[in-house]
Amino acid sequence: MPNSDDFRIKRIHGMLLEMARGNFFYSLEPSEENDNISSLIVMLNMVNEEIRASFVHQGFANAHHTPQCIIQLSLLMASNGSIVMVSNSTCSLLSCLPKDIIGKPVTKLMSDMSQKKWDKKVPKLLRKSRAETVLQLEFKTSEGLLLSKSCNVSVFQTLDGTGQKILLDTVFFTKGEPFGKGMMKNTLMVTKGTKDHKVPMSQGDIQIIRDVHDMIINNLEKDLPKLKELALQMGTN
Amino acid sequence: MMLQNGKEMSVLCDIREVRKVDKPARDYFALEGSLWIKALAFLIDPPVTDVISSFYLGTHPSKMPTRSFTDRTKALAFLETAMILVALLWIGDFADF
Repeated sequence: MPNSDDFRIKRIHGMLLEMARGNFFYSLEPSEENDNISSLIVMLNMVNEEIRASFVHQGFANAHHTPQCIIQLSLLMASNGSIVMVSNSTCSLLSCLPKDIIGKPVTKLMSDMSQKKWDKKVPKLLRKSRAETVLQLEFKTSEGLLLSKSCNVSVFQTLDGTGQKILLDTVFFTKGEPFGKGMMKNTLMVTKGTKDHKVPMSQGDIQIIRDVHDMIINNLEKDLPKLKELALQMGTN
Repeated sequence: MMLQNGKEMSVLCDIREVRKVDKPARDYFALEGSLWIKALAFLIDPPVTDVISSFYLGTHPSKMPTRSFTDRTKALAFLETAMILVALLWIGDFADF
């Protein structure tokens, strides 16, 4: 069933829907088959990776869209790997409810490859009272999409001496809501102490400032234009 | 790269059984991984590895002669020809200098 054409097409639809919603965190599980649907899955995963990478790059390199929102995937586990606590964002990323995963082994959420990696590495960490490592793990959502990320895995002793716990966490960046909502969105605070210290700026003003920023960055080898020339060219005043 | 030990070579890359190449692997191969490659031929088994090689070549353009083949003999012949061309170009550059 997991390798039937219908099943794989449904997974592709799910992935495309997530991409259409602006969610590029997920990927599709590659199959062993060598057919047209498998080639489509491979292509979709690679396109998705390129888009995701370009967003993060722009986020850090371009001041217009710095990542504002961090989604944290956190799982707290007992030493046997059964999940004790999850954050809401984890449930949202894995498309499940806390009650569906609390008490279950964490490996149930992972792909086969990641299960093997987990079973090999974590027992070694548990031999120490406190240890930390980074593992590249693939999680499976309830809809069958894959979530692949480097995760920080920490092993520690509980304060009450009841034994060891395992903490797994990683973060995802999104653009999210850049600034405040409503009136705050259109208002920029400039100088403290002045009577009328809030200068309302329209979206148009902000766009002009960004255009001027881009124009300066793209013409670094040239002298800056005079204010009058700039006003005529870019519409500033 | 350990096998090459700093020597430039032509490379036949048999990817017929590959089912996944993630972005860090593609990016690494395109930069550091290609440092000592003079010519590259991918041996593919369509459609999956055809998509992988086409995507890689489309997103990581390279100056070195690179092509995909389903036939091993043709791939090796391409590498031989490419090496001759590379040598001729190198001689041409040296003569200009």
